[in-house]
Amino acid sequence: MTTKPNLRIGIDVGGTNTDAVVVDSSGTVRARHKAPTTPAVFDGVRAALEAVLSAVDGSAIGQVMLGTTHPLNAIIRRSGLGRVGVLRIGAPATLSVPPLAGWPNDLVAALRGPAAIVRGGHEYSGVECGPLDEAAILDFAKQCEGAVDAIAVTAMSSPINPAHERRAAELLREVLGRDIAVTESRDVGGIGLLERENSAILNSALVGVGRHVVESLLQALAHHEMTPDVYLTQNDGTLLTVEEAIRRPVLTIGSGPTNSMRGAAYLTGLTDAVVMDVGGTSTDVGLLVNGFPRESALAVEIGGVRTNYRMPDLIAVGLGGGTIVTDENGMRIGPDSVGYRLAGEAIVFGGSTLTLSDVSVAAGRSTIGEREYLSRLDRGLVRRALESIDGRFAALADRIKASRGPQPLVAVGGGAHLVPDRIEGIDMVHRHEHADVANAIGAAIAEASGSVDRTFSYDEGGRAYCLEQARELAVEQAVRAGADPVRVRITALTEVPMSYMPGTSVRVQAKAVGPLLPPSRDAGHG
Amino acid sequence: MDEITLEDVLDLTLGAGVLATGGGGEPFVPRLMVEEALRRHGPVPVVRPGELDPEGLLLPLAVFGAPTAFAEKFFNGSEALIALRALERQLGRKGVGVMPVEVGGGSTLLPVAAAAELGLPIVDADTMRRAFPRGELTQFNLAGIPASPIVLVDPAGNTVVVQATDNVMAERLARAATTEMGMIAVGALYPVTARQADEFAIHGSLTYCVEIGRRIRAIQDGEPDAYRISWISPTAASCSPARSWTSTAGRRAAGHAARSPSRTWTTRTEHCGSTSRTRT
Repeated sequence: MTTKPNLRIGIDVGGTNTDAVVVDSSGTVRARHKAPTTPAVFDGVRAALEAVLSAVDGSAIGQVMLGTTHPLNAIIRRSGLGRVGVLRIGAPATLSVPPLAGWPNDLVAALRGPAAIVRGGHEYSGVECGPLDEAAILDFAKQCEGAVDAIAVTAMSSPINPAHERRAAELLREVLGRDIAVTESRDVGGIGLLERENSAILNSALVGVGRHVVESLLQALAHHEMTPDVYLTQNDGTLLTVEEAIRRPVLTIGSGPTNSMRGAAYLTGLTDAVVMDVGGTSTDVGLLVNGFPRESALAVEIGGVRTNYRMPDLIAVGLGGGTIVTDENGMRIGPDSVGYRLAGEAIVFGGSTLTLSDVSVAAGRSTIGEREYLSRLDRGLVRRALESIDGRFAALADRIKASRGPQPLVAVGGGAHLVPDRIEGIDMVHRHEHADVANAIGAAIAEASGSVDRTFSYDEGGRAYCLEQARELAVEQAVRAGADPVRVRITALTEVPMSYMPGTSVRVQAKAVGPLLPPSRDAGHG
Repeated sequence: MDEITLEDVLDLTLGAGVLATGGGGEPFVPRLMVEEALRRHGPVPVVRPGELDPEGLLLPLAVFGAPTAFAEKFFNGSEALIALRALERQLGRKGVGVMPVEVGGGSTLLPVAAAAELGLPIVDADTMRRAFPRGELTQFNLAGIPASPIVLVDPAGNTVVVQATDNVMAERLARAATTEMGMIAVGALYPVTARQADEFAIHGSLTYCVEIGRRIRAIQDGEPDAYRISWISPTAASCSPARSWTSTAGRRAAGHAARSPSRTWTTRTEHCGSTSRTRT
């Protein structure tokens, strides 16, 4: 006899903590775990799984969602990256800027393989600029033989006409075999050749890391004799299947802050609010609009590389529970932090370093640790430290807010207690008993999504028809990613008219999001 | 400012972003083009038009096309040379320098990359001191200088020479050609002599652009007094009463053509005055 698999596990691996929660189909948190992230990251994930599974029946787990900083760390630390062959299709255009231009030298050294710019590509209109130079591609493939782990292929205007990119990838696979992963740029980026090429290169470099993450997670689950559907969370807070995560690991790179904000929305039921995610070392401040993080209008840099992902619009500052407070020659708060060593080094935990957590306990905002260890702490110092951080939190709230009127604020993360109850311009500070694991909850409740980013000519068929097409394409993709066709909805639709273009050319971006279909044991494991 | 080096490119880009005034495109790709060109060919000398052979040909360059097309398809670096040779042949003059038609957006940066590739100095001037949406909205047009012959070169090397009867028509013909070129081309327009530029161009535009970028960066870096007009960097040295922003002839040319531009000049002159005061 089997129980209905109605539970989900959400896991979030952050720089400081690894969090896990079990959420049931009514949305109730059934188990939770929070522990410092371990140097070998999957030790922490296994321990987190172990802990939450001791509280619930493992066979009732239908889905597992993981958000992790693995890929981001690999890029930031330049470690574990694969060697990448870079093929651009677009010559004779684009020769003035070679691939990897503007990248940090040490990152280039860590991943650069052979690079070539060959003839081919398409105009903005989708018309071919010239025939694809297949001979040059075969030459490039020979250079790559035995020299690379993966290849990134980027063709001019491939989001509009993928023919050359697709053909080049085919040729490369024929010559090099299936062991060399080939990233086709339009799978990881939109319009903007260099940014898309950058994303494709990063993605190729991360293929090994992505595979490691997925395999380690599946192993850990197999250890518990579980075979749930497994997903990774991506930058926008929606889900990638493991197959897709192996193919497109770069899309999971910024999921942490998004998960926290989605968790904050879920726990409080608020759809529009300021969110402060206070961790051990830093605070991310963002804005929820319609239940999703407001996205940044600026290009996002990852490890010093410019990409065109849509990422949450965040302000990050060095304020967290582990932030070190000193009072020699004037008070200094941060940016240094004891980070994940908080439990050993903060005074309330018997250590000798004065941290913001100690200040928070002394002020009665938190009850962690042993308050009596603080008996010798100077009250004036506590007052001045509070004044300083309260001022900084207020300034942050004011900076992120989009409107003048008062708005609610949700304080989440392990250091949420630092956020004061009264902030100018904020009508109420919301807290929740599970706010410290909001990121894992955000992962657990994540939905499937699909998106389109295409240029339409409104002269052909009219605006309404084009928008309907964009919506349909987005919905179709969301359903393919696992969304319930009945409950999928359009969450964003933007139109950007293109200046100087003949006719009425409009760039349309549409996104559809929907809850996952319940796992079906028959279909998945029959 | 005597030369543009790799270290100046960020400030130049930031300033170009401001002077793009909402158009002019995203200068990300042009910035990389300039950096590549400077890395290969070294710094570009910055000169005043009056320092060049008065009868020499200036190559005023701008990016033609749509920013959205530019995001996918951009230059290979040899377009400006083709344009220069075409103009030299047609006009029988030798190229002595490159000039941005507009400081603002990618069109600020392209001429710097081209100057590096051509081994020519860049002239510290432009024709509007911001990005503008149409080719006839320039001080050269006010001075009665024809935009033609306009030479357009696309990344495949296709070349179109536009010889129009007036500057509005020149713009229309050039746009039509650019569309067929895939909405992206290097355009050389208003081929003036150094003497004409000295008389009718807006002087100091690149210095002004870099200075805006420098101040933005100073503000971002939290430098004290970055917002104050008295905050001044060594590069603003060329802004002195002796080297006025606009020549009297330029003011005269504008004065009889239209009222409104002279207002902006007044502002600019005041700006120059106040910065130079702080230096003395």
